[in-house]
Amino acid sequence: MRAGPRTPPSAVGPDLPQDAGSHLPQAVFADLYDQHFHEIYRYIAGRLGRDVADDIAADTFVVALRKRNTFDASRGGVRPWLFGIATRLVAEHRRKETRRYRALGRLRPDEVTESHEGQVVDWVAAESLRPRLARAIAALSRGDRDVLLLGALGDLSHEEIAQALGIPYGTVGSRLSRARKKVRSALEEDSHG
Amino acid sequence: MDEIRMIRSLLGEAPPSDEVVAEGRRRLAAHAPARSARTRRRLWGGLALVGAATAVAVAIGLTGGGPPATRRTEVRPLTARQILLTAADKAASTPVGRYWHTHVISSEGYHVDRGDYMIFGARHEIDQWIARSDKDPDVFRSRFAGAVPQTAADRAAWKKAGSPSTWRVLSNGQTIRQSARSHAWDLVRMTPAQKRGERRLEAKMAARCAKKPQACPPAQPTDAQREAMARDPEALKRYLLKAAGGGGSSYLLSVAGRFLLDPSSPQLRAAVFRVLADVPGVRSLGASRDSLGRPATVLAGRMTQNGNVYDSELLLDPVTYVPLGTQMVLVHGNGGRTVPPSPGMPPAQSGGLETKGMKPGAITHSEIYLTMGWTNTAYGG
Repeated sequence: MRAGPRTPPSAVGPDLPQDAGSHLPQAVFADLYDQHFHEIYRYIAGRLGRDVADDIAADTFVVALRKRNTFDASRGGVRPWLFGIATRLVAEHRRKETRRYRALGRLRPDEVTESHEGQVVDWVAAESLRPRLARAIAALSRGDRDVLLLGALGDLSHEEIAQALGIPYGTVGSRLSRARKKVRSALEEDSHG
Repeated sequence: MDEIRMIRSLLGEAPPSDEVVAEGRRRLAAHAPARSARTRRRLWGGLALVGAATAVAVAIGLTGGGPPATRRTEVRPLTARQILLTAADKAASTPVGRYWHTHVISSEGYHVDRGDYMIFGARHEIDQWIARSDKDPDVFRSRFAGAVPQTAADRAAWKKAGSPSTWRVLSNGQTIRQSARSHAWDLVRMTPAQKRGERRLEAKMAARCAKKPQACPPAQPTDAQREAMARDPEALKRYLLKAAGGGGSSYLLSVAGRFLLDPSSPQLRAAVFRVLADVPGVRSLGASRDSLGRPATVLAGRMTQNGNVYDSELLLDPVTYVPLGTQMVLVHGNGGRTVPPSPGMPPAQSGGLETKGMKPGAITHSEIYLTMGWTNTAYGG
């Protein structure tokens, strides 16, 4: 951490506005943080684990503050915009993400149950499927996984996912159904395995 | 088979700890550059090797050598209403200056099982000069201050436990680590040109949001809207009550403290105290001391949250009646019931619920105002 005077915030990014049209003023970021930090954190923690999420969730808001000129209210709300930034930061840690799924896939069911106690009440019957589920998620393409997990972990609607990733609405639907199909078939195949 | 539900169950994680939330907020406030995970771990975890002597010095330096914070009642006690109306008069006659200067230390109270005492942890310190004129720069300093035992009794228990410089404590159902080590200060200056740019952005944002509110975050009152409430006590009361949310009128003292942290005219500050004077249930606890040992007049509103009974307190300087801080003090706990983090729990309900091991009088949340007022002296000048 630096102790001395730093470059003033408005001069940090190369792309900061002197005069921006519909962008977010700095003053709203404290509120945005209070409203969205938890859900952004849990989305990132779901994909990268808690250790990494401690940092990346905070980064999401610092990056958002610096790139507030890229926010365009006519293209969607603040929430999908933040999830989009979070998703791009997650993408920089793809190896950690894969490692996390692999680790979850390796866990024996009883270990899994213990470490997630309280969250898995509806899961007990199917816990032996967890390794397969983790492998299936790891095997998805990045684009499919982004769509699937923005919905499953971030609770974003199709429209919000389209806004977060900057892709057409129809693409969200096709990616999602492909991802779900892959996951489902991984879960259903060879039920003795 | 619902694979979405299974994915949530597989990948779902508990909410962040208070200190992670506080660190993120500090970084956002300081516009701090992203720090690597390795650095962060070093800051939170690896500082265990702070010498015990340093830790003692830090603890004593920050909690002050003053007498223990025990409650004493004045000979001729004023009612809460009398105190608040006096505070209103004093506020109304306090002149404004070139800079609004506030210096605040926010922290959470944690119970330490080994040795059975309380500490202030996740201590976030903000020291800022906001210029009244757009032609003067603003200065914003912040840092994480190390954790310290709460009272003299806590300090004694801490010494008896071997004067540890790190602690493991419960937060949101998880064990987190706290360290006595303070971090270095971050400093951000905002030049007049940058401030003008911000004002333009805010104005455009406001204009746009007036047309399309659904795509905008909830609006903060502008300076003009805040000041208008000085002449409209009902609107001011409605605003503060709304900010108090589920806490209701008993929580207004804490909310008012936060409201007074922003720059405002003497008239608006006086209006806030007058609103508080009319709130039923606010009572005076008389003369006492704050957790730094400063003499304080204490006002309290009683509230219940999750089976825990608290006093939401506003502390005033006994001479100037300037706020010295706010705190949540445990009156009696819910019997040690811990609240497990559950997926999807909104942030508002996920903090400060644990009172396990805490005795009556424990401070579960604290905002200490080291400075609050107008000054003509610039930072460093």
